[in-house]
Amino acid sequence: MRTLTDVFAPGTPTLPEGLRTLVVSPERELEPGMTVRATFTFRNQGGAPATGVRVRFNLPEGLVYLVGSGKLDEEALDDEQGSSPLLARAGAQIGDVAPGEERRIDIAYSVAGAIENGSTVELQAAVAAFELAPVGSNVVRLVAHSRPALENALTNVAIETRHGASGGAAPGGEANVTVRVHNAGESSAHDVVVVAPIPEHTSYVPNSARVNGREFERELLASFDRVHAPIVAPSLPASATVTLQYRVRVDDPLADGTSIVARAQIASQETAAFAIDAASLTVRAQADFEDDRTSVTVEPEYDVTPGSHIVVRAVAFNAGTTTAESVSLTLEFPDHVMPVRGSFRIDGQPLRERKKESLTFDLGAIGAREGVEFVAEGAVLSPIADGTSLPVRAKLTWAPEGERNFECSAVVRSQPRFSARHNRIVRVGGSSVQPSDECEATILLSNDGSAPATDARLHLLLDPALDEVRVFDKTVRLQMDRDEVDLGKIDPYTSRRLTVRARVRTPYANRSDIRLGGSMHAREAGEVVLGEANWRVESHPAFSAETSQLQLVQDDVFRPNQLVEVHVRLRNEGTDIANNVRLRLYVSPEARLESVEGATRERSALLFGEVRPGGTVEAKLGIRLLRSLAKAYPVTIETVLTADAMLPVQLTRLTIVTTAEPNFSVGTLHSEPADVADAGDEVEFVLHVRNGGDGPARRVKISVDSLDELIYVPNSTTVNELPVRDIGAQSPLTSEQGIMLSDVDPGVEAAIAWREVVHNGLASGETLVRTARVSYDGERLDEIAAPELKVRCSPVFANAIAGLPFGLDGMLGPAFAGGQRALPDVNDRFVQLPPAMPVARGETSVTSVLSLGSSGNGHAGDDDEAHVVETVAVFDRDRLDRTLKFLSEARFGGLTSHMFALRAFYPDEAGSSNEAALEEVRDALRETLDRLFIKLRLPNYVIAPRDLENAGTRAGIVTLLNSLQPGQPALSSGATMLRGACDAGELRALAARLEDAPLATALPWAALARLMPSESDAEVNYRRMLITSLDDLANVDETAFIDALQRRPYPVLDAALNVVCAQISTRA
Amino acid sequence: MNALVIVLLIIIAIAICVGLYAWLSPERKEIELPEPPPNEPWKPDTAWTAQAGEEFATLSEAARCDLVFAVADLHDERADGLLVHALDDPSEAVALAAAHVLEKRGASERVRAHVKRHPGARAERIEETLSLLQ
Repeated sequence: MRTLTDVFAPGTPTLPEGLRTLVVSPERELEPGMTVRATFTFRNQGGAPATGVRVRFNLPEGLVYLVGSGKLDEEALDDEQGSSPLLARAGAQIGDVAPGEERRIDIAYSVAGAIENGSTVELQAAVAAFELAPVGSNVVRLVAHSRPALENALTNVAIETRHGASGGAAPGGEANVTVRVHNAGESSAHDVVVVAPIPEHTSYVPNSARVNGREFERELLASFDRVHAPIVAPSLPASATVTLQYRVRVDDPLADGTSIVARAQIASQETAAFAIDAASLTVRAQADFEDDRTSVTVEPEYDVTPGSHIVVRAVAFNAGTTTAESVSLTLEFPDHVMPVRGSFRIDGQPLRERKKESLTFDLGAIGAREGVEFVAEGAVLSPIADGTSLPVRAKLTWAPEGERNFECSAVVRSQPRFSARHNRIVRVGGSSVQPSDECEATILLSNDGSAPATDARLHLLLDPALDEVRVFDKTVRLQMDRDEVDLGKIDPYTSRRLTVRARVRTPYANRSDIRLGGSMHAREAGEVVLGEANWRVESHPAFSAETSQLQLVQDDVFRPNQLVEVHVRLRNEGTDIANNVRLRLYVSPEARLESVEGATRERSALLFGEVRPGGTVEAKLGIRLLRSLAKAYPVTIETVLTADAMLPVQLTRLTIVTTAEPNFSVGTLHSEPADVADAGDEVEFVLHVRNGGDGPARRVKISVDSLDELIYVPNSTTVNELPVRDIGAQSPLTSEQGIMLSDVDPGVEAAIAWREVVHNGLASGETLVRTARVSYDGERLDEIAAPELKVRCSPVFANAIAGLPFGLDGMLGPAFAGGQRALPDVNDRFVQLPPAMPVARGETSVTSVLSLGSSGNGHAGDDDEAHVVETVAVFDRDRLDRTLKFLSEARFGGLTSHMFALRAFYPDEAGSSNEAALEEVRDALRETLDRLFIKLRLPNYVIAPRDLENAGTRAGIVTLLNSLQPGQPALSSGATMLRGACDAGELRALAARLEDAPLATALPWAALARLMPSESDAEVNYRRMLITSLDDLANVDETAFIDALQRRPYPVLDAALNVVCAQISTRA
Repeated sequence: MNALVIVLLIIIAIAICVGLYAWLSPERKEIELPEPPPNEPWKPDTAWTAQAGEEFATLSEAARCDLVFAVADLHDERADGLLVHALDDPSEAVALAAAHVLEKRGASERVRAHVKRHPGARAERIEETLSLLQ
């Protein structure tokens, strides 16, 4: 069973007509915009009420609900969201209908604006209840009547370019033709036909026709412009528009202002053909000379040389779409360019010659895409600077109101020019010159070019023979930079005339050619060779005794056999080369030429060969002086200098001053025995003399004095082992004339020996001095002394000698001189004592330290007992072991170890003093030293002053020292007791000193050392040594004290501490 | 013997029985003492100085030793913690200084605990040296 919701669904059949109570007005036909009213009534024919009654109307296509028209029993039903509940799928609930009750439903529709002609509209209503299935009303069928309307304002034709219709069309451009057909009627138009011919002055762009944007020619099966009346839309619904569009190309060229008109006619099956208003487009055309085809050029553009012609070529091409009228060209040449008469041509045809040439030329009318070529020539004037730009301006004008300016340029290539005909060097005067003469030449420079020559520099090629070169510009001397002269700028068509003066160098070789060349260099012209001027030199060599001479290398007096060095110096003062220079030597007979350096020796002549003008040759001669040299005759060297093409020259004679003399100052006289001789011994003297001089001695006298202490041994005198006759009983040496030697040449030696006996009556220790005298050449005297000879005798008391049957006085000889003990060796200066006990610190043994200890126990005597403060430290076994181990661990070297001993043996009680002060110092001491003990375990730790003491510790120590009272401590029990004693006054004195002592110094430790135990010898010894060591450091500053703590070794003190430790350990 | 005595004896007997049952019961649990932390290999730590301040992060051996002694004069918990951390200093002298200071501050048990937790030659040396300084 169908429900009310299912009825009227699209595609479903209508309900069976159960009630024929639906009434519709109009009844048969309807037109767009008409109102259709429907009334549906029904009655409960049954005997029971119908509950949940619902009524529903259908809404056919082409009708729309007229809002607010739904009524129930003349009462309006509320619409929901613009629609009546009667049209809802579930229908409108109208409540219960009692039996026999009739209800009436009204509703109105409006016919839609566009409804196809002849279409049918069916209206039906349905009612349902809870108890009843839907019951349909009768179906009312209405037929619609409508027609299309194509002729309206929206149906039109338009033609426009891409830029719109207002801008006009350009010849050759495209335009769009658009024909719009709008159906303003209520029904569709069928077979809509558009007649749109291609406008005049245009042509259809193939395949450009579009209908509503899609290609149209495919449907036509022909080109659009060939079909007269195509159907553009088989059906054009009401309110729809069809657009026909195609493109046309505007003819080119085309006169400006030409109008292009687009026309169209439209018709359909329902509408007769009608024409719509035509659309038009105005053509805009103009002449155009703005593109690249219109140009003005200059040929050539570069390297235009003065005097040449440049060609100005102007091409006017009308790239526009219409003809340019009255086209003219105006040229403007720069100052350096002169127009060439008769050179103007248009399209190759020369213009008519005119006397007064105007530079404005009429080119006539130039049609679209036509051109005219104009040619003119100009001559470039000279001079003109290189690189000058020659601007050529042109103006092209045409009607109406067209103008274009052009500017082109040509760059000038202009250069200076120096021709060989006008640029050269010309000699002034004759060609023959002598050294030191002045030469003169003229340099001509002329710039024949068209541009100035800048940075011009004159470069002179100077012959080495020329000196004092000067360059003049007229009378002005130009500055020369080496061989160059700055000429600056040489303007075109100007000349310079320069004068060069130089002096011929002297000396100079004969017949030498002198050249003075030159060239000029300019930036633009490059190198310009100017040629050269030539001269020939007349020159000769020359020597003089003033500059050519012989000299001694060493100005001295020379001795025989000595080599004298002579320096030879020859100077050619001439102006030409001296050839075959030869120096002849004439040397005195006492000398001979031994060596020559720097020249070739040929017998007694020296060959130097060639000597250049002004040149010098040198040689060194070795002249050996002969032995036969006589003092009175100096050696002389005479020389003669010869050379080719020159007269001989005698040089100054060289005199070598000589001397020669004998010398016997060096000689020896010695005796045998040499130093000591016993009385009665024979002594042999030997005198060695030698002529150590360089001259012979004619006569040499040798003599000695006769001494009473020595007795000559007859016939004992020899000369060079040849016996010499005595004179009487005396040696000839002791005679007045002595021994005479004659003609003793240098180097000759003589040995004279003689013997003498020491007088046996001399006293022991007497000194014998023997001196020989050597006199020679009558004026020289040399003395030669022998070493002193001591006489040795021995004492003797007894005169009874074994072997003699009698006594004898005056015995001699060493055999009788006994009993004396001499030094073991003459070099021994000291008697070697037996070795002592070594006192090396490191080797000190415990026993040795103990031996140094005091024999006393350190206690004060009975007289001082009233001032003695006794101390005691008690050790049980554990504390003692710990203390000894602590001391063994605390061996850090220096005095530091003993500071830990102060901590270890610090007393537990002292005298009758206040224990609190003692305890306070103990704690401070332990804290300080414990921290130091830890820090010293750091590698290479250096003690700082703060590690030793602070103000609190110092105050505690002072307090303690002041509070210690004489007496014995009460503590008297313990395994091991270490007792000590100190003087209370001493402690007070130390306390007083501590008040002013700086911190971290030795004094407080020295005071604490007084509290050390001193019962045993070892303890007393250690305590005393420690106090001494610390007292020694009491006055040093902290740095020295720390140095002693860490660096200074105390081996004895260390050993003493070891003894104490060992003793205490043993005692325990 | 009066009734009161009898009642007391009964109560005492019951109490004894309950006590014996509790003692001999298999469900009785031993009193578990807290176990000390296990021994650990000692690891050097130089970062303890940073606890005193960033500026103390990099100190020399001697300077760390001085820092320990300086901290010894501070009487607060933070100083104790710092000193305990200093026991792990790679320098044995610094660790010894920390241990010494801790003992002086009455925290010898913390030193002992540290030594026990990190046994070895280093711990033995520190302990022996501390005993020397007593």
